[in-house]
Amino acid sequence: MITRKQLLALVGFVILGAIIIWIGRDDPSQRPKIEEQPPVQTPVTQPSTQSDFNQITLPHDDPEFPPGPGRELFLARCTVCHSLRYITMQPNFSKKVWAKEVAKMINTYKAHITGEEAREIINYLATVKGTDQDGASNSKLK
Amino acid sequence: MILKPEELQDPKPEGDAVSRRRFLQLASAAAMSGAFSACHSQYTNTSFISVPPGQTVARFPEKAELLLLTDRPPQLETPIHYFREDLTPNEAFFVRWHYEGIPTYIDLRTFRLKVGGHVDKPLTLTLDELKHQFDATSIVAVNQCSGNSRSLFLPRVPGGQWKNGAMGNARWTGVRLKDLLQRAGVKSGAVDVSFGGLDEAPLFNMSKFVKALGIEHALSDEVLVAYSMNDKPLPMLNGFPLRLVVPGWYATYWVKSLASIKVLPEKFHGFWMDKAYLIPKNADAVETPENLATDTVPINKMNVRSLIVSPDLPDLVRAGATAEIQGIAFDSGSGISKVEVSIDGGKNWQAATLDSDALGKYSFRRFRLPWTPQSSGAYQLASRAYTNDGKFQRVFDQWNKSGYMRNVIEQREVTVI
Ligand code: HEC
Repeated sequence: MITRKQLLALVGFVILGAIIIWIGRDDPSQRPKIEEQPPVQTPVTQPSTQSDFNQITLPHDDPEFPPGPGRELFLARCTVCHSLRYITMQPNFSKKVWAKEVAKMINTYKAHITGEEAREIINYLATVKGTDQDGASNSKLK
Repeated sequence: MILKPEELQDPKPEGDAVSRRRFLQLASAAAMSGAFSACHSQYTNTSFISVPPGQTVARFPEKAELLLLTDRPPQLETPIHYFREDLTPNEAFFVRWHYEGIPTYIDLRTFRLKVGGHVDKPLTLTLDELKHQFDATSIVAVNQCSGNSRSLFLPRVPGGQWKNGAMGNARWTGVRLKDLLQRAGVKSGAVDVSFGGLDEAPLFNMSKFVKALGIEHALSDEVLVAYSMNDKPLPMLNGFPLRLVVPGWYATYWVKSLASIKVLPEKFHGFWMDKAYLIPKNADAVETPENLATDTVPINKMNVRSLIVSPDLPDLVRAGATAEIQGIAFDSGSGISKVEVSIDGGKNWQAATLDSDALGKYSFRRFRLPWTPQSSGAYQLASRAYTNDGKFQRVFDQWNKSGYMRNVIEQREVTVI
Protein backbone atom coordinates (compact mmCIF):
# COMPACT_ATOMS: atom_id res chain seq x y z
CA MET A 1 0.00 0.00 0.00
CA ILE A 2 1.17 3.47 -0.75
CA THR A 3 0.77 5.83 2.15
CA ARG A 4 -0.40 9.40 1.73
CA LYS A 5 3.08 10.60 2.59
CA GLN A 6 4.72 8.41 -0.06
CA LEU A 7 2.19 9.54 -2.61
CA LEU A 8 2.91 13.16 -1.83
CA ALA A 9 6.63 12.52 -2.12
CA LEU A 10 6.07 10.78 -5.45
CA VAL A 11 4.03 13.68 -6.80
CA GLY A 12 6.73 16.04 -5.53
CA PHE A 13 9.40 14.10 -7.41
CA VAL A 14 7.38 14.11 -10.61
CA ILE A 15 6.90 17.89 -10.41
CA LEU A 16 10.59 18.43 -9.59
CA GLY A 17 11.57 16.21 -12.52
CA ALA A 18 9.33 18.18 -14.84
CA ILE A 19 10.91 21.44 -13.66
CA ILE A 20 14.39 20.04 -14.24
CA ILE A 21 13.44 18.86 -17.73
CA TRP A 22 11.85 22.26 -18.44
CA ILE A 23 14.98 24.11 -17.32
CA GLY A 24 17.24 21.80 -19.26
CA ARG A 25 15.06 21.87 -22.39
CA ASP A 26 16.66 22.67 -25.69
CA ASP A 27 15.69 26.27 -26.17
CA PRO A 28 16.95 27.34 -29.62
CA SER A 29 17.60 30.88 -28.37
CA GLN A 30 19.89 29.43 -25.69
CA ARG A 31 21.96 27.29 -28.04
CA PRO A 32 25.49 28.51 -28.70
CA LYS A 33 25.41 30.46 -31.94
CA ILE A 34 27.14 28.90 -34.87
CA GLU A 35 29.24 31.52 -36.50
CA GLU A 36 27.72 32.59 -39.77
CA GLN A 37 29.96 31.76 -42.64
CA PRO A 38 29.40 32.61 -46.30
CA PRO A 39 28.72 29.48 -48.32
CA VAL A 40 31.89 27.93 -49.62
CA GLN A 41 32.17 28.99 -53.22
CA THR A 42 35.18 27.08 -54.39
CA PRO A 43 34.14 23.71 -55.70
CA VAL A 44 36.58 20.95 -55.00
CA THR A 45 37.80 20.84 -58.57
CA GLN A 46 40.36 23.66 -58.42
CA PRO A 47 43.77 22.45 -59.48
CA SER A 48 46.01 22.07 -56.50
CA THR A 49 49.66 22.99 -56.46
CA GLN A 50 50.50 19.95 -54.45
CA SER A 51 49.03 16.55 -53.82
CA ASP A 52 45.58 16.77 -52.32
CA PHE A 53 46.13 14.31 -49.53
CA ASN A 54 48.59 13.85 -46.83
CA GLN A 55 48.28 10.85 -44.62
CA ILE A 56 50.60 9.30 -42.09
CA THR A 57 50.40 6.30 -39.82
CA LEU A 58 51.91 6.79 -36.41
CA PRO A 59 54.03 4.05 -34.91
CA HIS A 60 53.33 3.11 -31.29
CA ASP A 61 55.40 1.23 -28.84
CA ASP A 62 54.57 1.47 -25.19
CA PRO A 63 57.32 0.44 -22.83
CA GLU A 64 56.73 -2.40 -20.40
CA PHE A 65 56.51 -1.92 -16.68
CA PRO A 66 57.69 -4.34 -14.02
CA PRO A 67 55.23 -6.38 -11.98
CA GLY A 68 54.22 -5.11 -8.57
CA PRO A 69 51.22 -3.92 -6.61
CA GLY A 70 49.39 -1.20 -8.49
CA ARG A 71 50.78 -2.09 -11.91
CA GLU A 72 47.48 -3.12 -13.49
CA LEU A 73 45.68 -0.08 -12.16
CA PHE A 74 48.53 2.14 -13.36
CA LEU A 75 48.39 0.61 -16.83
CA ALA A 76 44.62 0.94 -16.99
CA ARG A 77 44.40 4.55 -15.79
CA CYS A 78 47.56 6.14 -17.12
CA THR A 79 47.28 5.08 -20.77
CA VAL A 80 43.93 6.75 -21.41
CA CYS A 81 45.27 10.06 -22.71
CA HIS A 82 48.90 9.43 -23.57
CA SER A 83 51.54 6.79 -23.91
CA LEU A 84 53.46 5.42 -20.96
CA ARG A 85 56.55 7.05 -22.38
CA TYR A 86 55.29 10.20 -20.67
CA ILE A 87 56.22 8.36 -17.49
CA THR A 88 59.36 6.51 -18.63
CA MET A 89 60.91 9.72 -19.98
CA GLN A 90 60.76 11.36 -16.55
CA PRO A 91 63.71 11.15 -14.19
CA ASN A 92 63.14 9.41 -10.89
CA PHE A 93 61.08 11.57 -8.59
CA SER A 94 60.22 11.53 -4.92
CA LYS A 95 56.83 10.23 -3.92
CA LYS A 96 55.83 13.82 -3.21
CA VAL A 97 56.46 14.82 -6.83
CA TRP A 98 54.64 11.75 -8.15
CA ALA A 99 51.69 12.59 -5.92
CA LYS A 100 51.64 16.09 -7.40
CA GLU A 101 51.79 14.70 -10.93
CA VAL A 102 48.94 12.25 -10.38
CA ALA A 103 46.90 14.98 -8.68
CA LYS A 104 47.56 17.19 -11.72
CA MET A 105 46.25 14.47 -14.05
CA ILE A 106 43.06 14.27 -11.98
CA ASN A 107 42.48 17.93 -11.09
CA THR A 108 43.80 19.66 -14.17
CA TYR A 109 43.28 17.14 -16.94
CA LYS A 110 40.16 15.50 -15.45
CA ALA A 111 41.46 11.94 -15.42
CA HIS A 112 38.85 9.53 -14.05
CA ILE A 113 40.81 8.23 -11.08
CA THR A 114 39.54 7.95 -7.50
CA GLY A 115 41.60 8.97 -4.49
CA GLU A 116 41.99 5.33 -3.48
CA GLU A 117 43.25 4.37 -6.94
CA ALA A 118 45.55 7.36 -7.04
CA ARG A 119 47.20 6.25 -3.80
CA GLU A 120 47.89 2.82 -5.23
CA ILE A 121 49.29 4.26 -8.47
CA ILE A 122 51.50 6.73 -6.59
CA ASN A 123 52.93 3.90 -4.50
CA TYR A 124 53.66 1.96 -7.66
CA LEU A 125 55.32 4.97 -9.32
CA ALA A 126 57.37 5.69 -6.21
CA THR A 127 58.66 2.12 -6.42
CA VAL A 128 59.48 1.93 -10.12
CA LYS A 129 60.46 5.58 -10.76
CA GLY A 130 61.13 6.82 -7.24
CA THR A 131 63.99 8.19 -5.24
CA ASP A 132 65.21 7.13 -1.84
CA GLN A 133 65.34 9.61 1.02
CA ASP A 134 68.88 10.57 0.04
CA GLY A 135 67.75 11.21 -3.47
CA ALA A 136 69.41 8.13 -4.92
CA SER A 137 67.55 6.39 -7.66
CA ASN A 138 65.78 3.17 -6.92
CA SER A 139 64.46 2.82 -10.41
CA LYS A 140 64.47 -0.39 -12.30
CA LEU A 141 63.40 1.47 -15.37
CA LYS A 142 65.64 3.48 -17.56
CA MET B 1 36.36 17.30 -6.63
CA ILE B 2 39.92 18.44 -6.02
CA LEU B 3 42.38 15.89 -4.71
CA LYS B 4 45.27 17.22 -2.66
CA PRO B 5 48.64 15.64 -3.44
CA GLU B 6 49.42 15.41 0.29
CA GLU B 7 46.31 13.36 0.87
CA LEU B 8 47.30 10.95 -1.85
CA GLN B 9 50.60 10.06 -0.30
CA ASP B 10 49.47 8.28 2.87
CA PRO B 11 50.86 4.83 2.46
CA LYS B 12 48.07 2.29 2.37
CA PRO B 13 47.89 -0.15 5.29
CA GLU B 14 50.48 -2.72 4.25
CA GLY B 15 48.13 -5.71 4.13
CA ASP B 16 49.00 -7.98 1.28
CA ALA B 17 51.23 -5.42 -0.36
CA VAL B 18 54.49 -6.83 -1.58
CA SER B 19 57.40 -5.36 0.33
CA ARG B 20 59.79 -3.11 -1.48
CA ARG B 21 62.58 -5.63 -1.26
CA ARG B 22 60.36 -8.34 -2.65
CA PHE B 23 59.26 -5.92 -5.32
CA LEU B 24 62.80 -5.21 -6.37
CA GLN B 25 63.49 -8.92 -6.50
CA LEU B 26 60.52 -9.34 -8.77
CA ALA B 27 61.59 -6.38 -10.80
CA SER B 28 65.13 -7.53 -11.33
CA ALA B 29 63.92 -11.02 -12.19
CA ALA B 30 61.70 -9.44 -14.77
CA ALA B 31 64.57 -7.36 -16.06
CA MET B 32 66.72 -10.42 -16.47
CA SER B 33 63.99 -12.26 -18.26
CA GLY B 34 63.90 -9.42 -20.75
CA ALA B 35 60.51 -8.09 -19.75
CA PHE B 36 61.90 -4.57 -19.49
CA SER B 37 61.65 -3.42 -23.01
CA ALA B 38 61.92 0.10 -21.66
CA CYS B 39 65.60 -0.19 -20.96
CA HIS B 40 67.18 -2.63 -23.37
CA SER B 41 64.74 -3.75 -25.90
CA GLN B 42 64.57 -5.75 -29.00
CA TYR B 43 61.62 -3.97 -30.50
CA THR B 44 59.69 -5.89 -33.06
CA ASN B 45 58.52 -2.53 -34.33
CA THR B 46 61.43 -1.27 -36.39
CA SER B 47 60.41 2.35 -35.91
CA PHE B 48 61.99 2.25 -32.47
CA ILE B 49 65.58 1.45 -31.79
CA SER B 50 67.09 1.69 -28.34
CA VAL B 51 70.64 2.89 -28.44
CA PRO B 52 72.49 2.62 -25.16
CA PRO B 53 72.45 4.14 -22.70
CA GLY B 54 68.72 4.51 -22.40
CA GLN B 55 68.16 6.79 -25.37
CA THR B 56 65.59 5.58 -27.84
CA VAL B 57 65.57 6.90 -31.36
CA ALA B 58 62.52 6.64 -33.52
CA ARG B 59 61.58 7.02 -37.14
CA PHE B 60 58.24 8.64 -37.68
CA PRO B 61 56.56 9.34 -41.02
CA GLU B 62 58.36 12.03 -43.05
CA LYS B 63 61.05 12.16 -40.36
CA ALA B 64 64.65 11.11 -39.97
CA GLU B 65 65.76 9.14 -36.92
CA LEU B 66 65.11 11.47 -34.01
CA LEU B 67 65.40 11.13 -30.25
CA LEU B 68 62.16 9.72 -28.89
CA LEU B 69 60.54 11.39 -25.90
CA THR B 70 57.01 10.10 -26.37
CA ASP B 71 55.10 8.31 -29.09
CA ARG B 72 51.43 9.10 -28.31
CA PRO B 73 51.32 11.98 -28.97
CA PRO B 74 54.72 12.20 -30.65
CA GLN B 75 57.47 14.30 -29.11
CA LEU B 76 60.74 13.94 -31.01
CA GLU B 77 64.01 15.76 -30.46
CA THR B 78 66.56 16.89 -33.05
CA PRO B 79 70.07 15.47 -32.51
CA ILE B 80 72.34 18.51 -32.26
CA HIS B 81 74.61 17.58 -35.16
CA TYR B 82 71.79 18.87 -37.39
CA PHE B 83 72.56 22.37 -36.07
CA ARG B 84 75.78 22.31 -38.08
CA GLU B 85 73.50 23.43 -40.91
CA ASP B 86 71.95 26.90 -40.71
CA LEU B 87 68.53 25.64 -41.76
CA THR B 88 67.33 22.57 -39.91
CA PRO B 89 66.09 20.01 -42.44
CA ASN B 90 62.35 19.37 -42.29
CA GLU B 91 62.85 15.67 -41.65
CA ALA B 92 65.05 16.45 -38.65
CA PHE B 93 62.92 19.24 -37.18
CA PHE B 94 61.73 18.52 -33.63
CA VAL B 95 58.12 17.50 -32.99
CA ARG B 96 55.97 18.43 -30.05
CA TRP B 97 52.22 17.85 -29.66
CA HIS B 98 50.15 18.01 -26.49
CA TYR B 99 47.20 15.73 -27.17
CA GLU B 100 47.06 12.32 -28.77
CA GLY B 101 44.31 13.43 -31.18
CA ILE B 102 46.64 14.90 -33.77
CA PRO B 103 45.76 15.16 -37.47
CA THR B 104 47.13 12.21 -39.44
CA TYR B 105 45.01 12.64 -42.56
CA ILE B 106 44.36 15.86 -44.41
CA ASP B 107 42.43 16.26 -47.64
CA LEU B 108 43.16 19.66 -49.11
CA ARG B 109 39.90 19.56 -51.06
CA THR B 110 38.00 19.85 -47.81
CA PHE B 111 40.53 21.65 -45.61
CA ARG B 112 39.55 25.25 -44.84
CA LEU B 113 41.16 28.00 -42.82
CA LYS B 114 38.51 30.08 -41.10
CA VAL B 115 39.04 33.66 -40.03
CA GLY B 116 36.16 34.92 -37.97
CA GLY B 117 34.98 36.44 -34.74
CA HIS B 118 35.03 40.21 -34.31
CA VAL B 119 35.40 40.94 -38.06
CA ASP B 120 33.24 42.42 -40.82
CA LYS B 121 33.40 39.51 -43.27
CA PRO B 122 34.49 36.13 -41.98
CA LEU B 123 36.73 34.22 -44.40
CA THR B 124 36.79 30.55 -45.29
CA LEU B 125 39.82 29.78 -47.40
CA THR B 126 41.24 26.76 -49.15
CA LEU B 127 44.98 26.35 -49.22
CA ASP B 128 45.00 27.32 -52.90
CA GLU B 129 43.06 30.50 -52.23
CA LEU B 130 45.47 31.37 -49.49
CA LYS B 131 48.40 30.86 -51.86
CA HIS B 132 46.90 32.70 -54.81
CA GLN B 133 44.90 35.54 -53.31
CA PHE B 134 47.55 36.87 -50.93
CA ASP B 135 51.17 37.93 -51.28
CA ALA B 136 53.74 35.39 -50.17
CA THR B 137 56.33 36.39 -47.58
CA SER B 138 59.32 34.44 -46.28
CA ILE B 139 61.20 34.72 -43.02
CA VAL B 140 63.95 32.62 -41.47
CA ALA B 141 63.19 32.12 -37.81
CA VAL B 142 64.09 29.89 -34.89
CA ASN B 143 61.25 27.81 -33.52
CA GLN B 144 62.10 26.78 -29.96
CA CYS B 145 60.01 24.89 -27.42
CA SER B 146 59.45 26.72 -24.13
CA GLY B 147 60.83 23.66 -22.36
CA ASN B 148 63.93 23.19 -24.50
CA SER B 149 66.75 21.87 -22.26
CA ARG B 150 64.31 21.13 -19.44
CA SER B 151 66.23 17.98 -18.50
CA LEU B 152 69.21 20.17 -17.51
CA PHE B 153 67.39 21.95 -14.67
CA LEU B 154 68.31 20.94 -11.14
CA PRO B 155 66.35 19.87 -9.22
CA ARG B 156 64.75 18.04 -12.13
CA VAL B 157 61.19 19.01 -13.03
CA PRO B 158 58.38 16.96 -14.61
CA GLY B 159 57.58 17.60 -18.25
CA GLY B 160 59.09 16.78 -21.63
CA GLN B 161 62.68 15.79 -20.82
CA TRP B 162 64.33 17.64 -23.69
CA LYS B 163 68.03 18.11 -24.04
CA ASN B 164 69.05 20.99 -26.34
CA GLY B 165 67.26 19.76 -29.46
CA ALA B 166 63.71 21.07 -28.99
CA MET B 167 64.44 23.80 -31.50
CA GLY B 168 65.13 24.34 -35.15
CA ASN B 169 65.71 27.09 -37.68
CA ALA B 170 63.73 27.18 -40.93
CA ARG B 171 62.65 29.41 -43.77
CA TRP B 172 58.91 29.86 -43.35
CA THR B 173 56.84 31.01 -46.31
CA GLY B 174 53.22 32.00 -46.23
CA VAL B 175 50.88 34.93 -45.97
CA ARG B 176 51.00 37.70 -43.43
CA LEU B 177 48.44 37.21 -40.70
CA LYS B 178 47.90 40.95 -41.00
CA ASP B 179 46.78 40.59 -44.63
CA LEU B 180 44.23 37.93 -43.68
CA LEU B 181 42.91 40.02 -40.81
CA GLN B 182 42.67 43.10 -42.98
CA ARG B 183 40.79 41.16 -45.68
CA ALA B 184 38.34 39.98 -43.01
CA GLY B 185 38.10 43.52 -41.63
CA VAL B 186 38.93 43.71 -37.95
CA LYS B 187 36.16 45.60 -36.13
CA SER B 188 37.10 48.33 -33.72
CA GLY B 189 37.61 47.25 -30.15
CA ALA B 190 39.47 44.03 -31.03
CA VAL B 191 41.72 42.90 -28.17
CA ASP B 192 43.09 39.41 -28.86
CA VAL B 193 43.31 36.95 -31.72
CA SER B 194 43.07 33.24 -30.93
CA PHE B 195 44.46 30.34 -32.94
CA GLY B 196 43.21 26.77 -33.01
CA GLY B 197 44.56 23.76 -34.90
CA LEU B 198 43.15 20.42 -35.95
CA ASP B 199 44.41 18.60 -32.86
CA GLU B 200 41.76 17.52 -30.38
CA ALA B 201 41.72 16.93 -26.63
CA PRO B 202 41.31 13.29 -25.57
CA LEU B 203 38.31 13.92 -23.31
CA PHE B 204 35.35 16.19 -24.00
CA ASN B 205 35.87 18.20 -20.82
CA MET B 206 39.51 19.06 -21.53
CA SER B 207 40.34 22.39 -23.18
CA LYS B 208 41.25 22.43 -26.82
CA PHE B 209 44.79 23.60 -27.46
CA VAL B 210 44.20 27.25 -28.34
CA LYS B 211 46.71 30.09 -28.07
CA ALA B 212 46.26 33.84 -28.40
CA LEU B 213 48.23 36.95 -29.33
CA GLY B 214 47.34 40.55 -28.63
CA ILE B 215 45.77 42.34 -31.61
CA GLU B 216 48.76 44.64 -32.13
CA HIS B 217 51.13 41.72 -32.29
CA ALA B 218 48.77 39.87 -34.65
CA LEU B 219 48.71 42.90 -36.96
CA SER B 220 52.50 43.27 -37.03
CA ASP B 221 54.38 42.51 -40.26
CA GLU B 222 56.21 39.47 -39.01
CA VAL B 223 53.53 37.03 -37.94
CA LEU B 224 52.83 34.58 -40.78
CA VAL B 225 50.45 31.80 -41.64
CA ALA B 226 53.01 29.53 -43.28
CA TYR B 227 52.31 26.85 -45.85
CA SER B 228 55.90 26.06 -46.53
CA MET B 229 58.95 25.23 -44.50
CA ASN B 230 62.35 25.34 -46.18
CA ASP B 231 60.52 25.63 -49.52
CA LYS B 232 58.59 22.40 -49.05
CA PRO B 233 55.15 21.67 -47.62
CA LEU B 234 55.29 21.26 -43.85
CA PRO B 235 55.66 17.67 -42.64
CA MET B 236 52.41 16.43 -41.11
CA LEU B 237 54.07 16.28 -37.69
CA ASN B 238 55.19 19.91 -37.96
CA GLY B 239 51.73 21.22 -38.76
CA PHE B 240 50.74 20.44 -42.35
CA PRO B 241 49.18 22.26 -44.12
CA LEU B 242 49.41 25.57 -42.20
CA ARG B 243 51.30 26.76 -39.21
CA LEU B 244 51.34 30.06 -37.38
CA VAL B 245 54.84 31.57 -37.35
CA VAL B 246 55.59 34.00 -34.53
CA PRO B 247 59.24 35.04 -34.93
CA GLY B 248 61.07 35.61 -31.66
CA TRP B 249 58.36 33.95 -29.58
CA TYR B 250 58.40 30.46 -28.12
CA ALA B 251 57.00 27.63 -30.24
CA THR B 252 53.91 27.23 -28.05
CA TYR B 253 52.38 30.10 -30.06
CA TRP B 254 53.25 28.58 -33.43
CA VAL B 255 49.95 26.68 -33.66
CA LYS B 256 50.20 23.66 -35.94
CA SER B 257 47.60 22.50 -38.49
CA LEU B 258 46.09 25.92 -38.03
CA ALA B 259 42.41 25.90 -39.00
CA SER B 260 40.74 28.64 -37.02
CA ILE B 261 41.67 32.26 -36.39
CA LYS B 262 39.29 34.26 -34.25
CA VAL B 263 39.38 37.97 -33.49
CA LEU B 264 38.05 38.72 -30.02
CA PRO B 265 36.63 41.93 -28.56
CA GLU B 266 37.95 40.88 -25.15
CA LYS B 267 40.94 39.14 -23.63
CA PHE B 268 41.15 35.45 -24.59
CA HIS B 269 40.76 32.98 -21.75
CA GLY B 270 41.57 29.32 -22.03
CA PHE B 271 43.55 26.67 -20.19
CA TRP B 272 46.61 26.84 -22.48
CA MET B 273 46.96 30.61 -21.94
CA ASP B 274 45.70 31.02 -18.37
CA LYS B 275 46.99 27.90 -16.61
CA ALA B 276 49.75 26.39 -18.72
CA TYR B 277 52.90 27.96 -20.15
CA LEU B 278 53.12 30.52 -17.36
CA ILE B 279 56.44 31.91 -16.16
CA PRO B 280 57.38 33.75 -12.97
CA LYS B 281 57.01 37.45 -13.61
CA ASN B 282 60.62 38.56 -13.11
CA ALA B 283 63.59 39.32 -15.34
CA ASP B 284 64.93 35.76 -15.55
CA ALA B 285 61.66 33.90 -14.97
CA VAL B 286 63.09 32.29 -11.85
CA GLU B 287 61.70 30.92 -8.62
CA THR B 288 62.85 28.31 -6.11
CA PRO B 289 61.18 25.05 -5.06
CA GLU B 290 60.70 26.53 -1.57
CA ASN B 291 59.45 29.84 -2.82
CA LEU B 292 57.33 29.43 -5.92
CA ALA B 293 56.31 32.59 -7.74
CA THR B 294 52.75 33.71 -7.16
CA ASP B 295 52.93 36.40 -9.82
CA THR B 296 53.06 34.77 -13.26
CA VAL B 297 52.59 35.77 -16.90
CA PRO B 298 52.18 33.79 -20.13
CA ILE B 299 55.56 32.88 -21.62
CA ASN B 300 56.37 35.13 -24.57
CA LYS B 301 59.66 36.21 -26.19
CA MET B 302 62.70 33.98 -26.23
CA ASN B 303 65.80 34.93 -24.27
CA VAL B 304 69.32 34.85 -25.71
CA ARG B 305 71.02 31.46 -26.10
CA SER B 306 74.05 29.91 -27.70
CA LEU B 307 75.13 26.34 -28.15
CA ILE B 308 78.41 24.79 -29.27
CA VAL B 309 77.66 22.17 -31.91
CA SER B 310 81.19 21.19 -32.85
CA PRO B 311 83.48 19.55 -31.87
CA ASP B 312 81.19 16.83 -30.64
CA LEU B 313 81.30 13.06 -30.83
CA PRO B 314 82.46 11.50 -33.10
CA ASP B 315 84.89 14.33 -33.99
CA LEU B 316 88.47 13.71 -32.93
CA VAL B 317 90.42 16.68 -31.65
CA ARG B 318 94.17 16.15 -31.66
CA ALA B 319 96.71 18.05 -29.61
CA GLY B 320 98.72 20.40 -31.81
CA ALA B 321 96.19 20.30 -34.67
CA THR B 322 93.74 23.08 -35.40
CA ALA B 323 90.08 22.33 -34.91
CA GLU B 324 87.13 24.67 -35.22
CA ILE B 325 84.81 25.42 -32.35
CA GLN B 326 81.49 26.17 -33.94
CA GLY B 327 78.06 26.95 -32.65
CA ILE B 328 74.84 28.85 -33.04
CA ALA B 329 73.35 31.82 -31.20
CA PHE B 330 69.95 33.49 -31.33
CA ASP B 331 67.58 35.70 -29.39
CA SER B 332 64.10 37.09 -29.94
CA GLY B 333 65.09 39.36 -32.81
CA SER B 334 67.30 42.15 -31.53
CA GLY B 335 70.14 40.21 -33.13
CA ILE B 336 73.43 38.77 -31.89
CA SER B 337 76.21 41.31 -31.44
CA LYS B 338 78.98 39.10 -30.09
CA VAL B 339 79.73 35.54 -29.01
CA GLU B 340 82.60 34.57 -26.75
CA VAL B 341 84.04 31.12 -26.28
CA SER B 342 85.90 29.61 -23.35
CA ILE B 343 87.95 26.41 -23.37
CA ASP B 344 88.66 26.44 -19.64
CA GLY B 345 85.20 26.32 -18.12
CA GLY B 346 84.60 30.06 -18.19
CA LYS B 347 87.84 31.43 -16.70
CA ASN B 348 89.01 33.05 -19.93
CA TRP B 349 86.94 34.16 -22.90
CA GLN B 350 87.80 34.85 -26.53
CA ALA B 351 85.63 36.52 -29.13
CA ALA B 352 84.46 34.18 -31.89
CA THR B 353 83.83 35.37 -35.44
CA LEU B 354 80.22 35.59 -36.53
CA ASP B 355 79.00 34.36 -39.91
CA SER B 356 77.03 36.86 -42.01
CA ASP B 357 73.63 37.87 -40.73
CA ALA B 358 72.10 37.36 -44.17
CA LEU B 359 69.43 35.00 -42.84
CA GLY B 360 67.98 37.76 -40.70
CA LYS B 361 67.69 38.68 -37.07
CA TYR B 362 65.38 35.79 -36.12
CA SER B 363 67.70 33.11 -37.51
CA PHE B 364 70.46 31.05 -35.94
CA ARG B 365 73.69 33.09 -36.18
CA ARG B 366 76.75 30.89 -36.54
CA PHE B 367 79.97 31.57 -34.65
CA ARG B 368 83.39 30.03 -35.16
CA LEU B 369 86.70 30.01 -33.39
CA PRO B 370 89.83 28.18 -34.53
CA TRP B 371 91.28 26.15 -31.70
CA THR B 372 94.69 24.51 -31.44
CA PRO B 373 94.88 22.70 -28.12
CA GLN B 374 98.50 22.33 -27.07
CA SER B 375 98.13 19.21 -24.97
CA SER B 376 95.80 16.26 -24.69
CA GLY B 377 93.26 16.02 -21.91
CA ALA B 378 89.80 17.21 -20.99
CA TYR B 379 88.71 20.75 -21.90
CA GLN B 380 85.56 22.51 -20.71
CA LEU B 381 84.04 24.32 -23.67
CA ALA B 382 81.48 27.05 -23.18
CA SER B 383 79.96 29.90 -25.16
CA ARG B 384 78.16 33.09 -24.23
CA ALA B 385 76.17 35.30 -26.55
CA TYR B 386 75.43 39.04 -26.39
CA THR B 387 72.53 40.78 -28.10
CA ASN B 388 72.11 44.14 -29.78
CA ASP B 389 69.73 45.19 -27.01
CA GLY B 390 72.30 44.57 -24.30
CA LYS B 391 71.31 41.13 -23.04
CA PHE B 392 73.87 38.38 -22.49
CA GLN B 393 74.15 34.88 -21.10
CA ARG B 394 75.37 34.26 -17.57
CA VAL B 395 75.96 31.43 -15.15
CA PHE B 396 73.38 31.62 -12.38
CA ASP B 397 70.90 29.53 -10.47
CA GLN B 398 68.21 29.41 -13.11
CA TRP B 399 65.21 27.36 -12.08
CA ASN B 400 61.44 27.40 -12.43
CA LYS B 401 58.98 24.61 -11.76
CA SER B 402 57.98 24.14 -15.38
CA GLY B 403 61.52 24.09 -16.74
CA TYR B 404 61.07 26.98 -19.17
CA MET B 405 63.44 29.46 -20.80
CA ARG B 406 66.74 27.88 -19.89
CA ASN B 407 69.54 30.10 -21.18
CA VAL B 408 72.44 29.83 -18.77
CA ILE B 409 75.92 29.35 -20.24
CA GLU B 410 76.20 25.67 -21.10
CA GLN B 411 79.48 23.86 -20.61
CA ARG B 412 80.61 20.71 -22.36
CA GLU B 413 83.66 18.56 -21.91
CA VAL B 414 85.73 17.69 -24.95
CA THR B 415 88.60 15.23 -24.78
CA VAL B 416 91.66 16.06 -26.82
CA ILE B 417 93.80 13.08 -27.80
C1 HEC C 1 42.61 12.68 -18.76
C2 HEC C 1 43.77 12.52 -19.55
C3 HEC C 1 45.01 12.01 -18.80
C4 HEC C 1 45.15 10.89 -18.03
C5 HEC C 1 44.13 9.82 -17.74
C6 HEC C 1 46.52 10.90 -17.55
N1 HEC C 1 47.19 11.97 -18.06
FE1 HEC C 1 49.14 12.40 -17.80
N2 HEC C 1 48.97 14.02 -18.99
C7 HEC C 1 47.80 14.44 -19.60
C8 HEC C 1 48.07 15.63 -20.38
C9 HEC C 1 47.05 16.41 -21.21
C10 HEC C 1 49.43 15.91 -20.22
C11 HEC C 1 50.21 17.07 -20.84
C12 HEC C 1 50.56 16.65 -22.23
C13 HEC C 1 51.57 17.50 -22.89
O1 HEC C 1 51.66 18.70 -22.60
O2 HEC C 1 52.28 16.96 -23.76
C14 HEC C 1 49.96 14.87 -19.36
C15 HEC C 1 51.30 14.79 -18.99
C16 HEC C 1 51.83 13.83 -18.15
C17 HEC C 1 53.20 13.78 -17.72
C18 HEC C 1 54.33 14.71 -18.17
C19 HEC C 1 54.60 15.77 -17.18
C20 HEC C 1 53.57 16.86 -17.15
O3 HEC C 1 53.16 17.21 -16.03
O4 HEC C 1 53.16 17.38 -18.21
C21 HEC C 1 53.30 12.73 -16.84
C22 HEC C 1 54.54 12.29 -16.08
C23 HEC C 1 51.99 12.11 -16.75
N3 HEC C 1 51.13 12.81 -17.57
C24 HEC C 1 51.70 11.03 -15.96
C25 HEC C 1 50.45 10.45 -15.88
C26 HEC C 1 50.13 9.37 -14.97
C27 HEC C 1 51.10 8.74 -13.99
C28 HEC C 1 48.82 9.06 -15.18
C29 HEC C 1 47.98 8.03 -14.44
C30 HEC C 1 47.80 8.34 -13.05
C31 HEC C 1 48.32 9.96 -16.21
N4 HEC C 1 49.33 10.79 -16.59
C32 HEC C 1 47.03 9.95 -16.70
C33 HEC C 1 46.57 13.84 -19.52
C34 HEC C 1 46.30 12.69 -18.82
